[in-house]
Amino acid sequence: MGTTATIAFSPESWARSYAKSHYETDPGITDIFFIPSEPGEREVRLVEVNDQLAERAADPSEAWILTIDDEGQVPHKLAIVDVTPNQWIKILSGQLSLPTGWSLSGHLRMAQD
Amino acid sequence: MNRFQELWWQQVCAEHEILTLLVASSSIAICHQLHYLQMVTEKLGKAYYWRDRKPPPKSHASFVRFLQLLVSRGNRDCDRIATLLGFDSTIELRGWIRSAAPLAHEIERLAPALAGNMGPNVEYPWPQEAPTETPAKYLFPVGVRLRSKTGRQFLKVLALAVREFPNYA
Repeated sequence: MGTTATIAFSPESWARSYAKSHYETDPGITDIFFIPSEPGEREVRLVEVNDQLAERAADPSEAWILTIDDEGQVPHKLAIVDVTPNQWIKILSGQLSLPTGWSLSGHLRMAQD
Repeated sequence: MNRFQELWWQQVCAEHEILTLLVASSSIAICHQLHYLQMVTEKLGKAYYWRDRKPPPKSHASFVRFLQLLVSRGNRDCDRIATLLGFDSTIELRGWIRSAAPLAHEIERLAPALAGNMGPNVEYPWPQEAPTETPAKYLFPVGVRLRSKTGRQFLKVLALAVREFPNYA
């Protein structure tokens, strides 16, 4: 049979890989945070803090979500929220919100190495 | 390329055609060139995002994100896309994205919705409450950068990204 096995999925491990790539390709990114998704969900959630983004008055709660490797062995969704440093401070203090279903609980800063 | 992407791509092509004419003209105010450049980069990113058949976020900042998503695909796909965009390898494409990102962000910030009431934008005089500058007469620093080697390469890669869209979308 020509079925393709789906490899076990670790959102945090993928998050580190994406973070490395995004730090490398956008010097405006100052911090990237991994936001845990629901157990079993094949979605990598990131908040990327970028000092080159315009300060918007609106709530930055919209995520870019795109399916990655949809025909390969590790299909998953990559979801990214772009924020300015100021917006990130407001998210931490509860003045701005993350997308529905996202929580700061257990968030991790991805190292820039 | 799905039917949603095709519609977005057709619009991108139409606007890129105008951009090409504006870039070739030295007598037209630079704000028009920057306006079309801002629209083409934004819409190309959003056209790609329709890959999942869902509308993109309303955010304007999409071109660098679009480039990053391109190099998030499998290695073989990345190499193929790098070639389509005029690079010898994915590594070379990634290096270019890093060097082009500041310019891309600067172009994105020219949209009136992102420039705010006080800053330079490509459409309306500013500051909004008591204008002292107008786009048609303003010497945009990013316009000067577009004539540099980095700027010229940015326009060249953008043209390839528009033309080759159906081959990687």
